Amino acid sequence: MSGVVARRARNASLLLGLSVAFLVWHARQLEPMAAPQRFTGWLLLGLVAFLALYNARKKIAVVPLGSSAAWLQWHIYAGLFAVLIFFLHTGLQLPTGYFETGLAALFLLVALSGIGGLYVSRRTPPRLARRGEEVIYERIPRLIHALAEQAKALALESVATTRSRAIADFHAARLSAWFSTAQDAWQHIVGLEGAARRRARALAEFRTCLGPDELPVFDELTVLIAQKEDLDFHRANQGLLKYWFFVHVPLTHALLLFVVVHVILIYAFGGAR
Amino acid sequence: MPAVTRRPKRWDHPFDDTMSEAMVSELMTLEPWKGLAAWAHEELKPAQAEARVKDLRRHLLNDARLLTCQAGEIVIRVGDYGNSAFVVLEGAVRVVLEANVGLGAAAEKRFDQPKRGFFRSLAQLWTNQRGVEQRPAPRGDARAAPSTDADNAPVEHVPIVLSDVPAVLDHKRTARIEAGGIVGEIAALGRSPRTASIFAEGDGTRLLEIRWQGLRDIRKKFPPYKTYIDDIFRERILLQHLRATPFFQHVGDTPQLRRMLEEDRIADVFIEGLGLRPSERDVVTLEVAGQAVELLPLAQGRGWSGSEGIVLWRCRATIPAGPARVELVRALCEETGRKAVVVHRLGAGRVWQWCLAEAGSVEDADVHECEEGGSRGPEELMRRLLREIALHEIGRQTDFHSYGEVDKTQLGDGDAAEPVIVEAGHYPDGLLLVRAGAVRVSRQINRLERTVSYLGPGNSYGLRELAHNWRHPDRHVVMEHTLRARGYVDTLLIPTSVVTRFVLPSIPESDLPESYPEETDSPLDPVDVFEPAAGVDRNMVEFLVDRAFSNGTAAMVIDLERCTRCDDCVRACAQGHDGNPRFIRHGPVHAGFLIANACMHCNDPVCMIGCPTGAISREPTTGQVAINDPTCIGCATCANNCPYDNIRMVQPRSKDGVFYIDAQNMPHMKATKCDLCVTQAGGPACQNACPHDALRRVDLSDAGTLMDWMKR
Repeated sequence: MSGVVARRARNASLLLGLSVAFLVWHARQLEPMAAPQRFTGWLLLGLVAFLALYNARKKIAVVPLGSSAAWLQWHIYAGLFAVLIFFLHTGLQLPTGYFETGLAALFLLVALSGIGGLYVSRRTPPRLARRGEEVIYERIPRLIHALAEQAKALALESVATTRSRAIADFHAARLSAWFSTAQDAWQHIVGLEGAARRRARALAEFRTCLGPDELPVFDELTVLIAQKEDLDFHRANQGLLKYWFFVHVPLTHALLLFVVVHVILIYAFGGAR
Repeated sequence: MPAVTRRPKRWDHPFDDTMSEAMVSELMTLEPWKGLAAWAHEELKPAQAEARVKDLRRHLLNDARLLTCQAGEIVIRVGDYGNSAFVVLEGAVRVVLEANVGLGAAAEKRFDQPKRGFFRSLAQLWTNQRGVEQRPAPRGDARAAPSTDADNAPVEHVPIVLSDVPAVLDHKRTARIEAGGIVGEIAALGRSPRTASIFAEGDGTRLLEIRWQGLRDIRKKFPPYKTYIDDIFRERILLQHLRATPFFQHVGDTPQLRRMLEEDRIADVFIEGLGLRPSERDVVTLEVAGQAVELLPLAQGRGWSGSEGIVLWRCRATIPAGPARVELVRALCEETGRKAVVVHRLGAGRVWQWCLAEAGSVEDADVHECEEGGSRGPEELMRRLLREIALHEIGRQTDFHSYGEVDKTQLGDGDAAEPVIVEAGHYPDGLLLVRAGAVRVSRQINRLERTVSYLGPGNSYGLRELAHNWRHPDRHVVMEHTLRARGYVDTLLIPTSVVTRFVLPSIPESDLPESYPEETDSPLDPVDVFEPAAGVDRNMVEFLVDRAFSNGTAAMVIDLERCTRCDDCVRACAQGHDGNPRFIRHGPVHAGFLIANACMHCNDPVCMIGCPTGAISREPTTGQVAINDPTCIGCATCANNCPYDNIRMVQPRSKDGVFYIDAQNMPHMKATKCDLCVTQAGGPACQNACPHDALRRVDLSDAGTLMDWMKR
């Protein structure tokens, strides 16, 4: 068992044990406890505050506060524990009123986006590592532009070298627009290959129409197409890895705001005193 | 509108602002500078000589500083990285010859690079500059405009003093270096850790500390000094290397010698044990205190603490301690033309004595006497002496070899010519020690030669084959692997005859490498040849060697199967470096692992070789390679020398956002690179910032470290 797998097994076991222990303890304390929801509410508030602190930790990377990797482990398992506490706090009942519904929805969205982000961050890097060359995300548009220029130059040159407009026309009709920007983002993210297959079929069909002097040019163009597909793949998947934070973090900020209002409302009008 | 400023020059920031022309004039009356000036006037045309001496004065003025030490003050500590050498001007220093020997708590105290505290780390969030590469304007000549800036202050000399010098002298083997001698040149010129601790012998010992750029240039301009430095450099590194090599720890201490010592046949040890056959015709008779004393030469070895040679003498008479013994040592030195001699005498009651001396310091000759039952028995002294003599004997027969070139264009090219050091299938003609550089270890698999490992400084090759052949004289094996030089490599070759005589018998059986199995007569046909050795990814090893990454001690390795490309590492780096990251998350990839364009803090940092100002140097205690920004003149020598393109030249701007240019409209440049966050409390920010444990600073000189991390 590798170190990472062992760590996951250990942490998951600890979380499971802690959850079961807490559930048993909570069930026993339910009767004697005057306001069980207050306890779970404050616990949940503490957990949410702790989870939100991770973003602050990432912003102050040079301050010696422990490694980000260790923080992420705590963040993941504390987040999963928070989901359990959330359900205990709500008693598995649907919320009433717009505010409470909004609060519950925000919590669930934050939790789901977190779990989704975890899935994405585990699934996507190996796919990226196996596909094409490693590229820096910000450089991809420039690289795509360079490929488009190369493809265009190749197509134009083919008119002179082969005395045929076939490749140039094919490029203008089928490839020029495709080369100009990143394409098929969702297909690359989900892992569908329909667009790539259709393109391959069209290329194969077109190849059969070419003469012997056009084939080498076409093969060069095919290499550029493959490189463009790899760049599209990296653009889509690296973008996904970058931008899921823009769902998770703003939702967290909104959740924190709602939580503060929720506490004030509870203490002001809910008889929590 | 760019800011027009004077271009930084080499000596804008001298080693010590307080050095003056008057002090330099005084230095020029002392050796070795006086001798160098005399050489120039004798050998060169007057104009050339004048220019050369003027250069020497400028080096002394700008690249040196004067230190006055008290008795026992530590000048150099073993293991530290040094960027300077020390010339003894007055008094003497002692070099502790025993490797891995501490000098007590005081000497162990280290002054690490000061780290930022918690609040200073936090303050970086708002004190960081907001633009790209903003730097203060070049200050110009530091003597004309002294700075109050802490970065520009001369490096403070913090004295650490041994509390009990006599005890150290009594218990440690030391060598004495007197006025005119030089110490610390091994680390300074070799960009390596200090190989021995050195302390001042008496109060008022005056030393001239000279940074290595100055030493390098003086060597270039004064050939006799180059020869002198190169000779002692070779001699000292040889002995220090042997002393530091683990399987030489017991050398000279063979079972046969141990038996003789137990049987009180100490007198026979030198003759029979080491197999040294003195000749009666070499007997020297000296008249000491009116008494004729016969001395029998027992062993001769090259090099003794930088002197010209050593002779061990067995004395046939008891010489009383005091002036007579000093006279004997002096007479012996004069008679033999040696700078150092060892004399021993076995007398009744197992009294054993030995004297060491160097020419010019006979009055201070070490005289040790041991009596039975003392805290250090004669056997212990004998063992130590035997080891030294055996090491000298090994050193005398060891050959230096250099292979390859220091050429960055060759290093990155996997197909570049790699001179063969050892060829598989050849008779093992000796034990190979790697002193510097990287060596590819490969073996033939079918028709392909596959890299199986690599060696770096301090590693050795051939002991297993030699041990096997020594144990099984009827079933010899040949060299198992081919060794090739990747770039420039320095090696020491100890001949097989020396290894079998001095080294192998002294290694405990349990520490000897195991023999080759009987069914495998030739190690060239092992059954596991197509199977990777346990835990070793041969393709990765091949990749590391092809790209010469094995030189890196803190390479940034990124596991692309875990890296989410979030760039937290880049942001963290920028946060710790005034808003500008010091690496690029890009580089060669193998098996899903990326070696990023970040300084690897090499074992042998070739980037340092040409730096004219000393701006790029190694941190004394950790060895990290760092650039001192105020001293950098932007010549790009380091960036051009770095085989991995991990040093970038940037065009800094002022706080107003304008570029600095000189009167010829040429931009000022500065070299920048990763400093491994040497001043940050938490260590490398990139590694700490990675949420997925996908980035690690790895010591690639040991493939096992990387393999362990890869399998985590």
